[in-house]
Amino acid sequence: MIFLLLVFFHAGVSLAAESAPLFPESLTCLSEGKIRYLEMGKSKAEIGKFCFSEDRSYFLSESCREKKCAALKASLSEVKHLALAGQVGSPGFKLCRRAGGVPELLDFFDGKKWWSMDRCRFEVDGSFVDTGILLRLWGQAKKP
Amino acid sequence: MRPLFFSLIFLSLGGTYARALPPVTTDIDGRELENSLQAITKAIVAIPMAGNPPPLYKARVFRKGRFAPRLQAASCATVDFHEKLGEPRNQDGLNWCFGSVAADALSAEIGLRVSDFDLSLRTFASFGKPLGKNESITKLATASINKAVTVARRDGICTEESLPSNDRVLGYLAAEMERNHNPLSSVEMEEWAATTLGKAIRSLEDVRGWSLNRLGAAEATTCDVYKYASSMFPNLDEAQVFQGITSAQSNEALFQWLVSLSCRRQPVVLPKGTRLKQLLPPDNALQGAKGFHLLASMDKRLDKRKPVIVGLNANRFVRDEGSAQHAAIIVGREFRDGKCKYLVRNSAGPGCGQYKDPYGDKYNCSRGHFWITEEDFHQTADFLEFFE
Repeated sequence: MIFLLLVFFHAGVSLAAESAPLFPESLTCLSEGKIRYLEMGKSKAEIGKFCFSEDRSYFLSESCREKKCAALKASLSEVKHLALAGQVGSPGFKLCRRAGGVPELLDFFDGKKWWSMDRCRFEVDGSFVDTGILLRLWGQAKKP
Repeated sequence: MRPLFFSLIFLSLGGTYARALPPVTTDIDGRELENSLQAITKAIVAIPMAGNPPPLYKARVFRKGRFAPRLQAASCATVDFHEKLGEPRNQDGLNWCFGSVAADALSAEIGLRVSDFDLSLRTFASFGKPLGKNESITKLATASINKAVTVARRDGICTEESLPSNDRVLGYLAAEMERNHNPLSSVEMEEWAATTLGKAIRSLEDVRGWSLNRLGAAEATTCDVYKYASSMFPNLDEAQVFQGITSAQSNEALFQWLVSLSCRRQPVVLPKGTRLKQLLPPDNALQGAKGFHLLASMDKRLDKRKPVIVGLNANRFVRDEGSAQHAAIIVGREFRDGKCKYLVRNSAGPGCGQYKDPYGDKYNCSRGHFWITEEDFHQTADFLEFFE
């Protein structure tokens, strides 16, 4: 009996983890948002459509909010833990490169203040998500 | 067993010295050596372990061999100074966690945000070769952090403003170094080499080791190289760039040289006697409860609003379970949801998606900082380091 309860409990926990949202439902989106970054010592800027969470911990292109973007369709299930491990670099940047994206550091402007962030950008449609979202997606996609 | 052990020591010593010194006879026999070694071992054991908490603390937090977390808010006073350290750092712009935590600890001490890329680059040589079978990651971590701090105190350090760690070119250089140690596929290499930054870096690597005469003869190539170098490192003059190209022994050394010249390093002035103190759990710490021995020291430090470097088993917190041992900074403590929790400042950028729930959920994570419980800490912590 206890064994069955434990099995059910474990299954429940697993399902809960699998179905956890990739990013919060409540997002603020800007249609002409400002992004800036440093490259070769020079500050560069771009305008784009992006969304961010209330605490600015999640960042994604507007197309990814609707879950219709290349960034959320990236093939991640074959990437193994060991491919991301190591003493150098960050797992999110490594996963991004292995998924065919370009990892980038940047700042975005929320209308009042600049916030540092990273993203994994996909050339095919210009969509992007922050590398934390990509890792969360990988966690849901990888084979047990 | 014992004779074999000493035979191995003698053999090892003999093998080492035989190459450098003429053979000599020794009057130290095995028994004397054994006694000496026992005396040394006793002396080491007798050194008070700073990680052992005072008895009262021990009685409160660890009863009858079981961890007893604090259940009262009064015993877990709130302290939170994460904003003092600014935005969280991002390892991929600089490569390794030990550089990030050393930079954060130094920044807190001197009140100036220092460049983690500068620190990482100068101590990068510690990496590149995988750990040996019997080498401890804790030893590597603490040695690397100490090395970063020692180098900064000796030679000064670039501020984040003068050498920003989030410049994308530095991220590419970091990726290039990673690539040297962990090669990507040839297709990925080709794609990378086709980018502007890839071309720029390649152009310098292609002429590394050329003499000045050869550079002078290949005028067009040399002009391109300088154009690329000056866009990556605008503060450098021709003499500095070409000195690096002609004398660097490796590509990594070339970029280390160019980056090191790119900023005027600030002296690191710390009060006399300040040192980076390291605490390890005693060897007899209970399995899975090592961090307990470090809790009291950490609390004391946090009460002074000073950050604490901590080695954690990251598998418990991050989605990439291959990460294992990882260094981070503790920057706060608070009684939350009926538990005493510590605020971890990580160096994987400001996102929260990379952390497993509940560490990554909105109640526990914000902008690259997440809360862990006392239990989490005492089950995963390997070492502490802090300035005192």
